[in-house]
Amino acid sequence: MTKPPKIDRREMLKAAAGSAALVVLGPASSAAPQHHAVAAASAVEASPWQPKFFSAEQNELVATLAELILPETDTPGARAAKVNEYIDLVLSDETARTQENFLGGLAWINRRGNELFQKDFLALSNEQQVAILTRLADSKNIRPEDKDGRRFFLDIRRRTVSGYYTSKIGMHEELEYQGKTPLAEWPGCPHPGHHGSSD
Amino acid sequence: MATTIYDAVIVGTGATGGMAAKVLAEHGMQTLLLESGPSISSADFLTHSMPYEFPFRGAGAPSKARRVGRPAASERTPFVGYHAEDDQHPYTFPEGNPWSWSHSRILGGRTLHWGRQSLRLAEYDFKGASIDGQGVDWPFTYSDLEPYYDKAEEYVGVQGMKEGLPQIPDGKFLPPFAFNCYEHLMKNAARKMGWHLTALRTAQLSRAHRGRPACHYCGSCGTGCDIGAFFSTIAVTLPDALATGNLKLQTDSVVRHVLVDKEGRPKGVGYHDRLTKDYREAFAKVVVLAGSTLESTRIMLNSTSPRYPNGLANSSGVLGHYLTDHISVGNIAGALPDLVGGKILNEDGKSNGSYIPRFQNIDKPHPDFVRGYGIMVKGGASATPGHANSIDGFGADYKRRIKALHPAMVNVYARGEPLPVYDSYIAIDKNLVDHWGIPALHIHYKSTENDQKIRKHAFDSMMELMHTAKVEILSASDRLSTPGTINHEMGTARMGHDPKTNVLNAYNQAHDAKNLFVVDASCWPSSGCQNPTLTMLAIAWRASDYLAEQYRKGEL
Repeated sequence: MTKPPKIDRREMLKAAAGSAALVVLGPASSAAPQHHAVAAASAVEASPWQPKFFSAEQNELVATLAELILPETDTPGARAAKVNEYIDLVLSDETARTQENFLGGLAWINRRGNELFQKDFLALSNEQQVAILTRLADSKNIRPEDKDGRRFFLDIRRRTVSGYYTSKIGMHEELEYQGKTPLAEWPGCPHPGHHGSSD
Repeated sequence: MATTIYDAVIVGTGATGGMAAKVLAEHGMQTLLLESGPSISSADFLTHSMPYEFPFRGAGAPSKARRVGRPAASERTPFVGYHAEDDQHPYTFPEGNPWSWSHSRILGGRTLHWGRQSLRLAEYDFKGASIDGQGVDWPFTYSDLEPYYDKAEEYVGVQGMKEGLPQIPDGKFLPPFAFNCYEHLMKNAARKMGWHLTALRTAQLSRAHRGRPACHYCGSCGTGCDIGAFFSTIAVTLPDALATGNLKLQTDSVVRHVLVDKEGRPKGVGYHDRLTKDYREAFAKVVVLAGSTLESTRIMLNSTSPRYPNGLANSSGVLGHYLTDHISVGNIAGALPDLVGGKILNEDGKSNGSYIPRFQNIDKPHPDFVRGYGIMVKGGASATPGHANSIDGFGADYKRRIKALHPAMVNVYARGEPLPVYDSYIAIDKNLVDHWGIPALHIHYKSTENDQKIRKHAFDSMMELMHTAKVEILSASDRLSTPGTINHEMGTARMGHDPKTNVLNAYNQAHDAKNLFVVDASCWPSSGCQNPTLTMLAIAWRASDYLAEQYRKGEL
């Protein structure tokens, strides 16, 4: 991790108010869940996030790949959304086979970096990194030697998409999600041009 | 201590059990209502939660999903039995011929998170055999059920448009939800094809109704409705049943079998305490099974006695047979060009879409297949972009394209009518028991050639529709979904006039035992292609009225 983790205290409290968090905190918490939640949030703030599954280098590689897949544009990218932390958590609970496949994919990426540019992926320039992923990204044009890499690319891209678009940044800043907003009436389509002859 | 003998015991609190409880209790019958799962109240729901409030973004831990199944692992519905846990509810199927069983074991059953789609069956759906020679007719007609459709719609509250179409007869509707943009465009395309697109009729309140508030369009129906704006047992039927003072509700009671006396006459049920597994019995003069198609039939198959060695009320030998689940074809997903790059609107709030009713075998018989299918049309900006995994690329262009496509997405899938056959059946697996030691089911489903012809026709029709709408198609599957997936199990205790070939009579009363009623969808002789719950409610209401009348007359 290059950036210090940031915990949103408000969200922690909100989650703690739900029954899911109460289960985690144990039966004693039901008397005063808010106090326990504050204590829990402070405890998390005190210690920086550590990967459960990845090594520090694997974690940085995952964060870099995720940011290449969904980069910062006019909105923050996958690194800011901590997609690597999500991928680490999910993989830590996966089967050994799924874990091995993913780590094998990371190793493949480094191997390809060395074959093409004589360096591990993280040591490559952005252009070189993009060049490696570009060979994996077009479904209609995959070289035989990139087949394993293609499988890994789709795997990490799927995990990045899941993590990013279920994060606050992905849902609200990027895709402007407005659901869960109580409305008195359902407005329907505001563009009369789309209504055509159906009215 | 004197043993309580109730007038009736009802097994199951889903749509039909809740309805039976309301009707019998309102008729003054002292009724015991048993639920296998725990209690729940709408105050427990995490209705407005967001994925990022949970460590696994709502999906649940992978290890838990492997143990209990993905639906039951959801962090947004952390309730025992909201989706039945695979490890407690095992079942088997033949190798290479899977059945996917998604059910609920909790107060309210699947009404807590159902799709809410409320379509009537057509007149022709009750007499399919007379029209095309396949299967059997129902033992009653549309006009017999019509008054109960009226009552059920008025009672639960259904929003929808009147269309005057024979495939989905009009009813007593609340004002319809307005169309989203994609629905206007798809309606125009459907019209060019000569088809009719209407708002999906749903048991979701567009206006306050009978003391319940209107929907507030949060789009979280699957997580459970915190205000009771869509129909569920806990929001509608159960409060009314309890208000009579005639109903005793008992949760955490896993029914094992129906108890019978020396003559083989039902006299109650034996059940296990869900938590301690202790075995207990409850007694009643009438037994009503409403545990869902597979569970009610499983209870009957497990209720063997000298009189019924092959399962209770099974002198016909058809108990467990003629299992169906609606055919599902698709999904086909793509982007409507007019909407690509447009403003992202709040479009998932009404949590439903539109419907193109069956247009095959209406006026003239199709040369290749009998019966037919309707097409579901859904789309618009949802909470998460499912299309991101269907397009190529990475980087800033990829991210921008995901966003541009987001408001433009539309997807269609077809729901068709399967033909019930004797070879589709459930039986007790003699080598398997569930968490409580109750013998579990072996599910043997047989897809027919007609199903495959419907599959092909439906896929071709949907592709034509998408092309007519100028949709850029991003993914298209022409496969039938795994049987059971659609969650519309029907037919394993079918009704009919002849006791030799049917388990139940036209009022859901067992031919073999007049004080045994089975009021869930196991009674269906054929399945139509419309979502079944509204019809299930109407049938359960009708059967319960009949039951109470017969009981009053001393006929049971």
